Parts: sequence; C-alpha cells; structure tokens
Amino acid sequence: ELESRGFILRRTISDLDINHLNSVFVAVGFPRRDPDKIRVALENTSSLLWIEYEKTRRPVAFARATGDDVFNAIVWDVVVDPSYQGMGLGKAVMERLIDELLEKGVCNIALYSEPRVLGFYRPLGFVADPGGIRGMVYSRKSKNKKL
Amino acid sequence: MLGISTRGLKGGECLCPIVSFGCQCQSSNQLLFSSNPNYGLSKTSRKLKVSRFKARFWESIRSGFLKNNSTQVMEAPPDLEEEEEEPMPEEFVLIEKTQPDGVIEQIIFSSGGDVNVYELQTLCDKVGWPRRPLSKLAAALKNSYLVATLHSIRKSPGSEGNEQRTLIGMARATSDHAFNATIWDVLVDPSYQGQGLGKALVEKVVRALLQKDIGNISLFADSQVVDFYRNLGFEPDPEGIKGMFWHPKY
Repeated sequence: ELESRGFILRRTISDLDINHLNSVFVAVGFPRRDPDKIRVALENTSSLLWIEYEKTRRPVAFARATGDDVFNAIVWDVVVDPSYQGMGLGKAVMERLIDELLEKGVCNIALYSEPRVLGFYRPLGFVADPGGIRGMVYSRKSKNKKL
Repeated sequence: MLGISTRGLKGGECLCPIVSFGCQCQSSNQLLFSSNPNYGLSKTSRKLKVSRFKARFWESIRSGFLKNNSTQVMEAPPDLEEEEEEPMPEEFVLIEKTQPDGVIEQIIFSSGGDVNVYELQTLCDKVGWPRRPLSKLAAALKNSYLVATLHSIRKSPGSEGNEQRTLIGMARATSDHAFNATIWDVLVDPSYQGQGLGKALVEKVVRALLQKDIGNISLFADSQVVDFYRNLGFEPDPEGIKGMFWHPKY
C-alpha cells in the first residue's frame, strides 16, 4: 500500500543518509545534533524503521527503539517530514516498529511523548502514566533541589 | 517489602510468545567499556581493582578505619562539581563494617556487569518480583549498556582468602551509546534496605552514564518511588512530557 504511493519501508541504516535524516529532525524542531553521534546512536539501536520517498530517495519518516531486546524497549526520534505529514506515514512507521518489537518478544514498549502528540500515540495503543507510573528524566539542575 | 521497582510491568508474566534468541547484531565497537561478560553459568569472580581516588579524601577515611574496629563508612563523597570530572572506578568499596563476631563485611559497588544470573534470580525472588526465564534474564543483561551491582563480601577473621560474596543489589541501563539511557530494574535485597544503598546504586549509575557523555538519562518510576528518584535529581514529566506504555497490563 505504501509502495504504491512511492514510499519504501526500510529497516536498516545502510542506505540512509544521516544528514538527510538530520534535516528531518531539524524540520520538526529537534536541535541539530552531530551526525557522527547520530550514527553511533543508530548503530546501537536494535530496532529502527524509516520510510524512503522513491522520487527523492530521502527519508520522510523515521522511528527507532532501544532496549534490551527481551523485556523493555523505548521508542525515540519519531518524526515525519512536515511536507509529508497527515498521510499516515507516522502511524505506518510506529505500527511496524511495534510489530517488530513484539516479534522479538518484547512486551514492555514505552516512550516519552510531548503533550501535543499524546493524541497521536493514544490511538496506537499507548497509555500515559499507567497505574501511576511516571516517566522521569535526570536533570543536573534538579539534583540540587533535594527534598 | 518490595525492592525499589522501576519496571513498567508489575506482576504477571509476559504473555508474548517466547522467541529464540537470534543474535541481535548491534555493532558494539563503540562500547566504552564492556558490560557483557559470560552470564551463562559462570561464577562471579572477584576482581577488586585498585583504582585512583581523590587521594586526600580517601586518606582521611583510611586513617580513621585503622584506629578501631567499629563500622567504617567509606561511602563515596557527596556530589561536588569536581567529583564529576574524576573518572569513576569500575569497582570500589561503599561500606565496610566489622561485626561483633569479628566478621568484616564490605559492600562493593561494581559497574563491570559481572552478574551470576542464578544469583540475580534469587535476588529478584527476595524482592518479590515475578519469575522471568533465566535465559531471558541473561540476554537482557548482555544487551544492557551498563549493569551495576552491589555485593556483600564477608570475611571471617583468620580464614585467609575464605570469603562469602552475595549479590545484594543491581541496577541496569539500556542505551544507544550516544544520546539516551534508560535505567531499569533497580533492586536492593530487603535485608539491606534502609541504609542508603539504593540511593548510592542509582547515584553511581547516573554518574557512570554522565561520564560516558550520555546526556539524557531517564527511567519509569512506580508512584511510590517517585520521591526517591526526585531526591536523586530526576524530574517527573519534564516540560509536560509524559511516559506512555503500549497496552500496559493494568
């Protein structure tokens, strides 16, 4: 279905131009990161999926998941090029990434969602703070604000 | 009393089909230190390394230790800005105490990832976590970026070289080796809880990750341990960002 519209599903980084990917990250508002560091991150990511647009040969959607490949996975860097949003590409990438993780036997699939995209993840089956669990992030600033 | 749990799943086994472990070929040439020794049936081996510390601080501790036989807390210094510049040793003594019967007990922190999977299973049982297949435990450890442990080492007086080494705590982190790390499975043996060991464990894991230049350190905390982690510098829902789980079993 995707292919008929000119979108190719990819599961490895072999044909991925990191700089093109970086442009998509920047286009959706991520800070521009060192491409070499991005490469290290991708090389150490066990599941990733991206969609290449046939005509331009460029990545238009991407998602990856890190974890232990047995129990837990966390999804990062879910992006769709703004010019290609609204077509179901984000959903396509996420659904297939989840399938891949489930096939590996990973049952615990988590992610951190900005407030404005909670509505994107909910229909995919994600629940925020289930059972009162809170996502927490380390901050050197909060280190000094002890209780 | 349950171990400090940060796992997303609470109780209940994974209902997903167990798949065979094809090798997950992560190219790990960028690993800055090894975190996957043989987890199969190997016994833990003692590898206390002599490491560099801030000489003045540890000298002051040691001079106190030699004077008497009471409990000597050799806890790593509190977090000072300077502390983060000094590379953290892979293994070091957190606490050393001498019991009334003369037995010396050391609590040792290690980030070397040397975990006997049977011992880990025992520890998970003690904190009340549901059983997970040993092979999966072993694979999870192998695929973790950092595995940190607390061991208790008991030496009887006069029994040269005869010591008892027990796993009493563990924490691990997965990571992409560049940007993000997530801490999972923080646990401390219930009979050793209440002494600040959990805090020390997490604090050292965070420090090790920061020293590897991992900028984003995250975790998922059950509601009853949110304050525990806040105290260690973790912030819930920063900027309104929410942790979400796919079809959680709640």
